[in-house]
Amino acid sequence: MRSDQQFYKGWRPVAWIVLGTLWLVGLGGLWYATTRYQFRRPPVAESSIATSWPATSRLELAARRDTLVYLIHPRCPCTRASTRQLQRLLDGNLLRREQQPRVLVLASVPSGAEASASPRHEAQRETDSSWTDTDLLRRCRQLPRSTVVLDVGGEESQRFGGRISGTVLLFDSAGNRLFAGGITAARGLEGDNPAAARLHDLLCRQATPSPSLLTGHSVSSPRPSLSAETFPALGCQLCLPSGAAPSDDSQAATAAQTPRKTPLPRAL
Amino acid sequence: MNPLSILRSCWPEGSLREATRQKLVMRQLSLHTRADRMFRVILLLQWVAGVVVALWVSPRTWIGAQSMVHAHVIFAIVGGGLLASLPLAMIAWRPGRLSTRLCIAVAQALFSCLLIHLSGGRIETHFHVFGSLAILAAYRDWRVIALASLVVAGDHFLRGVWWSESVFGITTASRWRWVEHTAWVAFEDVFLFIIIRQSNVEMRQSANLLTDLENAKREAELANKSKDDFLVKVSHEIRTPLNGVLGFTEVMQRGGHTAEQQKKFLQTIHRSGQHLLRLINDILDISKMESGHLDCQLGRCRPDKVIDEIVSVLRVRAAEKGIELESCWRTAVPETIETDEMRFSQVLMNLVGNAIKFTEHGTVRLTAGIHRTDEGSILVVEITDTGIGIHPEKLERIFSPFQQADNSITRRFGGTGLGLPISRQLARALGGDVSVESQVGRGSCFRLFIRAGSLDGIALHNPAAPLPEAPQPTSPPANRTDLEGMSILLCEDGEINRELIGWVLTAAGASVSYAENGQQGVDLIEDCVEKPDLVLMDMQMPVMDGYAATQTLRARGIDLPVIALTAHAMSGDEQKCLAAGCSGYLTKPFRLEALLDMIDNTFETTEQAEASWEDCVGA
Repeated sequence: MRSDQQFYKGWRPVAWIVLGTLWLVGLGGLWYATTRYQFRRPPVAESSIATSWPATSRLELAARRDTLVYLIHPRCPCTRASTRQLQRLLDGNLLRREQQPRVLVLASVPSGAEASASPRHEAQRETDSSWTDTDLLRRCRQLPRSTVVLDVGGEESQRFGGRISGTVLLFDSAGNRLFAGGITAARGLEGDNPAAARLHDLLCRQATPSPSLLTGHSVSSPRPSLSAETFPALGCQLCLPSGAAPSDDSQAATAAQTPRKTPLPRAL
Repeated sequence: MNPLSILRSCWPEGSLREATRQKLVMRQLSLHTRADRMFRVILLLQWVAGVVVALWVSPRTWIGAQSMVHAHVIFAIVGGGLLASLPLAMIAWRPGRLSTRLCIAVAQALFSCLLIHLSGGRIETHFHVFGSLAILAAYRDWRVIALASLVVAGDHFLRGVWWSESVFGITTASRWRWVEHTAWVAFEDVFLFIIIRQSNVEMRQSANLLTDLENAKREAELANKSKDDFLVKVSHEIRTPLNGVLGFTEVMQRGGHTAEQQKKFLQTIHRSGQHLLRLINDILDISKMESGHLDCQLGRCRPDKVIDEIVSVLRVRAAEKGIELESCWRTAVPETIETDEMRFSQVLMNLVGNAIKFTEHGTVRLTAGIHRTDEGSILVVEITDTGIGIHPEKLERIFSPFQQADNSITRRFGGTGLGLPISRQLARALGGDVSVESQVGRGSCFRLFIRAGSLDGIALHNPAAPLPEAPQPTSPPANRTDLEGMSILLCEDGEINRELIGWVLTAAGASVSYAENGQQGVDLIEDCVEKPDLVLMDMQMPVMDGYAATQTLRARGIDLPVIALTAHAMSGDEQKCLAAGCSGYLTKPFRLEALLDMIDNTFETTEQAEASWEDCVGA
């Protein structure tokens, strides 16, 4: 009995040391997992994002200013940070009036959500409002010059080739894509980052034409397009038509040539 | 203040008393255990709060219309549980330990990281770091703060260098931004360290104070017990001779005794009175020593003469017990040494008297010698006896007041236990000490060392000189009549003393008048044209005491000789009486011969009063 007690007494410190070591290793793993999660890209390809304004899109491209398409999942918690970041970018303190783009918020919702929003389906009303009246959508409506478009079924989003909530697309008035990707550096983390800075630069350069050395006329300097590979969006996957697979731009354009199968996006 | 000195002083342990250190350790343990219990709640709350925040902010993640539990919820449940698990286990099984609070410090710092992550990196959540450090300060342990700060700094360094946006919210931060954030943490740490230091200092002061209070309480209890012991012993010591006084007085009152028996009774009564006087003197000596009022009057005296006188006086007592009392010098005898002769004699009397007292048969031997050292000469007197001896464990005890080797000694030999403590204190006051060696049943050897002062130019003599014969007991002197024609005013409030002193003075031929207090005495002297030849003034009296009365007389130009009679025998009393204007000073109880001698001496040096005091009083 006594020897048992001595045995346990002798091994107790060792047990604590082992436990402490395991604990520290576990904490290291936790620290790594949380950090890695913030920067982990979604397992979908972003190369299919449209390089120009989709011809089959039912959305209207602004004629005298840039058009910013903001693809969101209305219930994605991580997109709140992207929205706040966009709010800061489009704030009147940072951009002059003529630099403000037209903002189209394309909120993809499942096709059942709109249909079930009928008062006859009382049981599902709450569920539907959880898609169409989310905090994120309310925030998006407060963006300057914004129009929130409910993309039922996600077909319009698919035309733009977006897969991830929080993707920002910037097109000039000619329909050329100037920017594509996320504007937060990490998942759910708002703050200054190169993508947001780049987008800001593109918006500012729109109204700052540099004079031509040869003709003396003012011409806009070329604005190189940036791909989503450089600045990936980090958020939930959008609601897209079932069976939609990652596709390149031509595929997206091809898919967009069958408008009769797609419901008209509804502005909110 | 140097930061390192702040760190070092956060746990000021230097030169702590053992009792204080134990109290401090107990208080720290209590404090750490309390803080552990507090963190048990805090850790659980943080865990729950993390899960609630995750469920509130990001409950689910979506793949189109399908959802699943968000990774943040899993991190909150699993991560928070992992963070809290080991600290909670250590709080349960190892409360109050350093390892427990260090583990809590790590968990608390990493909880900040987790909550910052769960809240989407909101800058407000960073205040959790500062709050955590402040709460960790409850441990009053700088190591806890330092470790938590290191974890925070490490987290900021790793994230800041490779994933700056995850901790600073921006990717454009400098690679050294983590230093700035760490500096803010260090900024708070400095204040926390200062507060911890102050708290620890106060805690130590409090523990010191508590120790002092406990010591004082213990000493007060001991003192109270000593006082009780003292009262019991003094009471016994007083009652024993008092019983002799009262008993033999009563026997004599019954009458029917022969003159020889009456003489023997009176001798016993006188001896008992002297014993009482010695007891009171011893108690006064102890009181003086303990209050630091023991004065030594250094002067040149002959050591051989002092020793011879002691031997002469005590040889009678030794002879009565049938033991021999011898003395010798083993070195040359200095003609004089510099010491307080009276105190030296007192110590010797105590030591030799003790040796005789505890020796039933055999010899008590005094061996004296002079030892020269670099610091001067020392007189060493060894008093060796063949008595009962002292047990080694009780050798030091005998030098404590009212302590004898054991109670059986007190019952067998009597005594207050004051002689040796007084002797040691006196010896130390004379620049020396008293030591003892003893063997039970074989005897003891007490060594008295006293500083002899400089012997330069002092003659040294051959020690082989015969000891003077012991003086024979003398009968009380016959009544003296040398105060014939003298008028004396006795100011004394005690009726017995008035009667006794009046009787003695009258028997000596003096004419005595009486006053019961100082005011009466002053009035009598002032109202009469012819003043008395001398005033005997008791110093403690009602209405007006002797000091005030004497001062009044002197203030009014009356320069009669005034002899102070006082029961106060403390140091400084004589000076106080003389300062009041007294011409002489006698301590009660005094020998009647001493009183008459004092009157004679005082009177001889004072001019006779011109007017007749008796006529004045008669008028």
